[in-house]
Formats: sequence, C-alpha cells, structure tokens
Amino acid sequence: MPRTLLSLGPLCAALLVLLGAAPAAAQDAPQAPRPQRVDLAPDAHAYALVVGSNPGGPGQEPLAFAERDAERMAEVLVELGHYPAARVDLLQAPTRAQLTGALRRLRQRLSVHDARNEQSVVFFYYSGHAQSQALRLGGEEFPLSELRAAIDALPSTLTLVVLDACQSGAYSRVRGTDPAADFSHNSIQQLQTRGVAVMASSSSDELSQESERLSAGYFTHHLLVALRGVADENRDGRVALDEAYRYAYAQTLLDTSRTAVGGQHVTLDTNLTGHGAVALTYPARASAHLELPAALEGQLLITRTRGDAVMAELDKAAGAALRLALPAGRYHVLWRGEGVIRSCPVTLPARGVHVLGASSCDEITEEQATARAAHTGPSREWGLELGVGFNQEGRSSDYTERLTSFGYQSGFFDWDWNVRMSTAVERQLRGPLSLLLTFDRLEDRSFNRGFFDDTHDTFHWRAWAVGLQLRGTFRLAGDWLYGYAQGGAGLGIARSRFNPGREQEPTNVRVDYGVQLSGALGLRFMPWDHMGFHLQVGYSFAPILQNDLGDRHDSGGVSIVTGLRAQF
Amino acid sequence: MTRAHHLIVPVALAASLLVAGCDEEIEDPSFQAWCGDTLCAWDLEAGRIARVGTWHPSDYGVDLVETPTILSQVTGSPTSELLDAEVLDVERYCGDLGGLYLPDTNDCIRQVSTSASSCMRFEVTADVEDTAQVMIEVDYGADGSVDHMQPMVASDWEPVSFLTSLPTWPGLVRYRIHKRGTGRAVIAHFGVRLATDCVDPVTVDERPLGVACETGAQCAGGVCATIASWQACSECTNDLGCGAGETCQVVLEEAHPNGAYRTCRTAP
Repeated sequence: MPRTLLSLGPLCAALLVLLGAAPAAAQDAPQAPRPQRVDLAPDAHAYALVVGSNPGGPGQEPLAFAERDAERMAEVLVELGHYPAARVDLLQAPTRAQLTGALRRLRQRLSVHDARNEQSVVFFYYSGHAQSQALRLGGEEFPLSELRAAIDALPSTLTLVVLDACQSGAYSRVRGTDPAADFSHNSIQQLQTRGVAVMASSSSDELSQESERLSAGYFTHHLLVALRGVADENRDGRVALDEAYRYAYAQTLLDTSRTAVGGQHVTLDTNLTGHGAVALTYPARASAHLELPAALEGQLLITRTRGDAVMAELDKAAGAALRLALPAGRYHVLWRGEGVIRSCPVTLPARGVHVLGASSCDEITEEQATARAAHTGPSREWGLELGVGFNQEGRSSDYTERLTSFGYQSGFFDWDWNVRMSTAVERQLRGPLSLLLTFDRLEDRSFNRGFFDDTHDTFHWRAWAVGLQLRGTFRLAGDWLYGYAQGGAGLGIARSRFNPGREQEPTNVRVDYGVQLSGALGLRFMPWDHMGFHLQVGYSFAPILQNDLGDRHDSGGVSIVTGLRAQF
Repeated sequence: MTRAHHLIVPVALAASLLVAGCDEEIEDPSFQAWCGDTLCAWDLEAGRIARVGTWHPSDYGVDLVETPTILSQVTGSPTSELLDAEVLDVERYCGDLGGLYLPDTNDCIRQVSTSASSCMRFEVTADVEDTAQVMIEVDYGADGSVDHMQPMVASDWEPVSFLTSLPTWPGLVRYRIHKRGTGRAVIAHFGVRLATDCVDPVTVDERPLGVACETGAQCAGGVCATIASWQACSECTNDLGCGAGETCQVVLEEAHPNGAYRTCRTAP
C-alpha cells in the first residue's frame, strides 16, 4: 500500500522554496554515501522520538503497519541501540500538538546536556502518510518546514532522521545547510559541530509502500533487519549508518521493483562533520543470536512463533556467516535453498547463539511452504482465557436494604467473597490492542424470610455479564511476561427467583438487564507458545437487578481471577 | 457460590431457638396467606381489600381499598380453656392441673395464662398516605371495645416501629387496622412482638368476663369469682346472687373467649 497517493510536483517545488538553499548531498545510490566516522563519547546521551501514524487524511486510506513499524523500531533501539527505554518516546497516531510537544520536551532535555557540554544523539523516526508540504497526522498536517526547524533546533551532537513516508526523500532537500567541513581533524572531546543525517524510504518523487506479507513497510522492515546485524559488513559487531543504508537500499529496491507501484529508492543525506561510521546498533552485544553459517545459502523467512510476526526475510549467499540479534524466544525459519524447502523450528535461549543447520530442519513440500508463508502475516492472534477466582459479594445496596426492611435476611452462606468465573475470547487488533468478548458470572445470593414459619419465602438471584473489552498489552519481560490493562462495557443479566413458602403459590422467575462497565489490570505469564496463565484484578459496575420500587443492586465489585490462557 | 441449604436448616434452627425466640404475636404479619380474595388469618370487618405486589410482584401486601376498611385479628391467650388432651382419667388429671372438672361432660377447664407482658412493639412496613387516616386499634380482652388507638404513620415502605404498653393482666387482644380516609394505604407487614421497654402499664379496670382478676373492682361487671385455682371476672360468685331456680355455674362459651366465668343459669 502506498504511503501517499498525492502527486509529487507541488511537493518538490514547495520544499525547494522552503529551503531556499542548495540541497545537501542527497544520496540515491548505495555506494555514494560514505559518512565519516563520528565517534561519540561512550557516555553520550541517547534520545529517540519514534512516531507512527496510521490514519490518513482526506482521500487517503489508513495505513496498516505504520504504528507497528514505529513500535518495532523503538524496540530495536532499546534492545540493540542502547537507547534507554525511558528516553525513547514512542508516539502512536499523535496529533500535531502532541508531536510539537514531544519535540519541545526533547529540546528541553537536550539543552541540559548542551549546557554541560555533554554529547548527545537523537534518533527521530516517522512512519506514516505525507503530503506535498507536510506530514499527515490523521486529520492534521505537520508542515515539513516546521519539522525541519524543530529538528534543526535540537541542541544535539548528532541527529539521525529516518522517514518512512511517501516522497520522504524530499525532506533532504529541505535541508539548507552546506556540507560541513571534514570532521576527521577534530577531536572527540572538542566536538562542537552538530551533525545531521537523514535516511528516507523513497526519493522525492516516489511512493513508499507497505507489505502485507511482511506486515510492515518495505523500507522499515529491511532497515530493522539491517539493524539486527545482517548489514554488519565489516563484522565489527556494530551496524553503521552507511551499512544499514546500503542494505535497506538494496533490499527495498529489490522487493518493491516487483510491485505494481514500482521500485522505491531509499535515500541518505548526510551533513556530518567528522570521520568514520555512525553506529546505529550494536548487535554483537545482544544476548541472543541466530547464526546463519557461512555455507548456508538461500532465501530465509524468519518468523516469530508468537503472533507469526515476520522478523526478517533475506537472501543469504554462501561464503560468510551472518548473525541476527533477536529477542530470546521461539522462531520458525522457512529456508529455500539448494533445491529444497526446509521448515526449521528455532529456540533462541536468553543467552547464546543458535546456529541454523539443515539437521534441525524438516524438508517440506511447496504446498506446505506456501501454506506456511500464507500463515505469516499481520500479527493477529486469537486468545482464549478461562479464569476462576473471587468476587466481592455481600455488599449492601438500596435493593438489599429493601429486602431487609421487608423482613428478609441474607442466606447463612452469603459471604463477603463469592466464586467468580470468567471466560474471554480475545482477538488481536493492531499494535498492542486487542478486543475481548467476555462472559463473567458476577454474583449468586439468596435471602430468606420466615424461615421457621409456614411461609418460608426464599429470594435468590444470579448475575452474569457479557461484554466487549479493549485491552492494551505491554511486555514486561522477554516473551513470557506481559502486563495488560483493559476496559469496556457489556450487557448484565440477572435472573432472580422468588420462591414463596406457600404451596399454592408458584415460583416467580424474573430476568433483569442492565449495563455493565468494567476495567481490569492483569499479568500474562506465557511459559509455552500457546498456553500460559493469567492473573487479573478488576472492578465492575453492574447495576442490573431492580425491584418494583425502583431500587437497584450493583452485582459487580472487586474481583481477583486467575486461570489458563491459550493463544493461536 | 453454591448455597448449602441443607446445612442452613439445622444450624439456623439451633441459632433461632437460642437467640431469636418465636415472639411474633400476629399470624401472617406479612399478608402472604390469601384465601381467594381475603386473607386467611385476618378478619375483614368492613370494606374491601385487594392483594397487590410490593417490591416484588409475588411478595404481597394488602391494599385497603374502600373507606372504611377494617382488618382485625385476635391474638394472645385466654385466661382459661377446655383441656384438649386425651387422657383416661380426666378428673384426676384435671385435679393435678388445678383445673375445674365438669362431670357431666367429662371435660376439664384449666387455666392457661398466668403472667402478662407489660409492653408490645408494633412493626410496620407500609405505604400509607396521610389522607388514608389509618389507625391501629387495640382491644384488650377482645370484648369489642377499643382501649387504645394510634395512627399508622408509615410511608414509602420504610419500616417503622413503636411501643405500646399492655395491661397488667393476661388475656386476648384484638388488633384492628382501620382505614378511615380515602388515600392509598398498602401494608406489607404488620407485626407485634412482646417487649420490655415500656414503663407504665395500661390501666384497664373494666376487664371482660373470663379474664383473670383479684377483686371485683377490676371487672366490668364488678364481680370477681373463683373458678377453680384462679379467679375470673364473672356475673355471680355464688347461688345467692341468682334468681329462683338458678345456680351460679361455671360456663365456657365462644361469645366470651377470654375463658370460663360464673353466671346464673337454670339448674339442670
């Protein structure tokens, strides 16, 4: 899917007018840019502002993977780029005001380091729609001139800008600065000149595309693969800016040239003063690696078992080994090479290297491979949760007080806490969000009157709720521990039964309906791929039961539930 | 939670016997027992009533429809009553009880209540408009004379209770719920429980026939006669007070439900 569909003429003209200066050395060939080494001090303060925006403006279809791309970029920066998580600001579908605010806060934080003569590096990433003169943030525009001004104003030692948007190469032309002098003669400690590098997913007259197969934008996918170590040509354990660029350029062009939209040329514009490579990530320092041995050759599709997320698709030539830094966990590698198709399950330990070999793979047919490839796609999951626990009960309300005033007493076993049972079917949406269809048993109570009389009346009710909840899940540790928060609404159902002690009187059954609102916080512990446990603390408000005098009873309350979770 | 009803019964029974006691004086205080259009345990002296739902359509209240409408119920114990027991030697058994043996019918009249409570508590849950002017009337001795009455102030189904003193003597009591006005009056619960909170007992010195007494001044007829081991308000104390051919006999009649009393009747 193209990341914009607007014509390009007005964009380029406008940008040039905005700049009013000679463009910097925008690069559209992989061999051209050779950024010089900019060795930052080891204690350089690293900040990242990562933005993803799926919504489109007028006449634009929403993107499918822009926000997910931003999320994955943020993960890689923390995991391999050594950006502290607290300094990685991930904005999902922000408004213009939110992006402006984030840039302002970033500038304030950098100013502190600047005042102390401390070095700092900024990584700015944007994935989303763009228009002729602006980024498209849903219904709002963020002018490129404003973005450029804000980024130029950042008092950082080094600023890296990565744009995955249509015509994003035009951003480079916004640059109004001349190429800086060679930096090689400046000492690190005396670094005063600020450098800026801009990598864009397409040239100024091209469209950027998304891939359903990769569940990502082509450019961002290949850049991420590069950053995980595939692009480390010189085997120094770091992926430099130029290395990442060359890999992303080649692979993006190769992939997109097969599409109807056409080839997409990644551009790199550098305005760096200094010598040497700019390291983006340090894959060698990662704790878990998948090694593709020197002799291995062929096409490899590496997917993470959880969610079937495509982690890398690459062509491996024989001759040199490749190492990918990946999070520990379970993966599947579909390997086409040597006239054979292999299916390889891989488990990466928390620390160590897994070497992929034919001996650990099963040969499969083309049909099986096709089915497997078709299975990879958007990270959409189904989940099923069965829980049991306790629910606050025995709470008084106008309803129960009315029963008391009519001579009823609560049942002998009407305890404060009641067994709670819950069932939920989860459907993964985009990003961290999922939608749940829930079914909960809320309450089971009884009241009695005239227990020792001939007229022993019993009133008993049970309450359930069926609802829809929106859940946001976040990773706490590895692939096995997640936290989540959820909230939603549903339909509450209460079935009450009035059983008169008088024989001639029939039992009266009544069903009440009402709204149920609920929210919960929980933990998901997944020691296995498809099975695990969950623990959830929630509160629900369910004023379902009502009597003929207008009194209502809330059958909700605090609940603590634990149980099994299966996911597919 | 699965309610273990089978456990409730013995546990609650024991708890009730120890703590609560069964001191509700009124039968069917919640107006649940209906015999057609009337209440099984209550007498409708005047007007018309209807069965209506309250908080739940199956938990009934009584609607005092017409003006006036009077519901009443007699509770309490008579001073004496006919022994209702199958024993072979009634005469001897009656003597052991301190009762009066009636050789003609081989029956025994025995004393029932010997002590009196000083106080009772009305417990009412109702929705009564002021214009309904519902009164609670109490007829000590159930002889047809209202000895005490007070307005039933109960609205919006809020339970209320209030105390009323009892006379010093035991006997039957007729409770009447009397609607005098035109407003809506629906009563869900009218209970009476004996209590000890009242200070001053009610002085009712015009005790009806059959009620226990110590002196003739306590009785409406001014006569207190010995029945057996107890005394009761009567119409004569001995044959001297009767006309020719009459004797002062002990009788037990439905018209005077408080118990046996002496009256002049033609000698058999």
